[in-house]
Amino acid sequence: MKNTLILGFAAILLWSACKSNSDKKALPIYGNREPVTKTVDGKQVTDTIYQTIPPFKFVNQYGDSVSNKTLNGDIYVVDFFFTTCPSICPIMHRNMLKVYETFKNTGHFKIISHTIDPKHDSVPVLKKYADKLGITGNTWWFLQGKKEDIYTIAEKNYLVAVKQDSSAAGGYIHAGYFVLIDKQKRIRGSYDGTDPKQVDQLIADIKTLQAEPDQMIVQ
Amino acid sequence: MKKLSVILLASLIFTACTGDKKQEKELLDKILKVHDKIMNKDDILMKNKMALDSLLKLPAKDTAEKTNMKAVELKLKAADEAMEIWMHKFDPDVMNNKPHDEIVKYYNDQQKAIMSVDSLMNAAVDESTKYLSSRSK
Repeated sequence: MKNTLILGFAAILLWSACKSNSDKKALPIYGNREPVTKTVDGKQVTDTIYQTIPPFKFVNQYGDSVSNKTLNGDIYVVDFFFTTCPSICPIMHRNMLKVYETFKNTGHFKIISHTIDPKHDSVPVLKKYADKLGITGNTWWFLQGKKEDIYTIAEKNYLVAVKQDSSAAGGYIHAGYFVLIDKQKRIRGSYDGTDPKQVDQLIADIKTLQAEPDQMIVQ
Repeated sequence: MKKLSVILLASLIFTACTGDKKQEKELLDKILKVHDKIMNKDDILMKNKMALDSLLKLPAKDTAEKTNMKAVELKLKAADEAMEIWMHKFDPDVMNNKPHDEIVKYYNDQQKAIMSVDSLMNAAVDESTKYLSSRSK
């Protein structure tokens, strides 16, 4: 009798543990998608190809080059800022510090902040900015590159989800968004970086992504 | 009695000071609002500039047309540079601990400067948008 009771108890415990796990909502995948039909083992299979971040190359605050390959296998958060920005950027980066502090020791996680004022924000300027924020190591990179390249990747890739949600024309790069990219380089969320509540949601979503089983990682 | 007047004087100075601070903050907020508006427009500016740059790279069929295109593109570049110059120079922190009058003057001057960048930006973006849409017809 006693044994059955314990067994029953254990079963209920197990069941509820599994249940709470499956209740955790998977994050949506944003951007364009297209179905592809291929033949596997003589059978027609339809697969969905999601939009991924295309190749890029920028330089970080240490003068090291950072490309899409450098970020292979990493979950990362992207934002756009400039060091002399007097309005929203200080608020955004105060909030981003919380993300940095939470994940700086977890590995396979990065934050990349693109300057949209590369003429002024040279590598030494970015290094000084990072030092002032107290950023060390290689978790949070401040990236510099050609202004045209930064605007193109923002507009065509990182901010497509923001554009899908909003009806207003133009003006996203300076709107303070944090964009979450998964290990397969797909867009999984965008958050208002000036709103601490949304930044808390971002932190929760990063944890959800980290718990996602690794699928095929795009090389 | 004397004590009372000291308190009165102190509170008067205090309210005057908070009034000053309030005015300074309002002036700064006004500048930042224009700044953010321009930065949003900068998206469209870059998009138009890139569209023009790729058109300019095409082999010239009509040289007059190309000169025209170049002029539109140069105005965008000038507006973008004017914004950058303002942005790099503007620093509200340099006014820390300066007298109220000096701060008000600085903010008023900066407001004027950014308004002129704003109109430069609007004109250049409008003209280039019109130009590009006339070409795509």
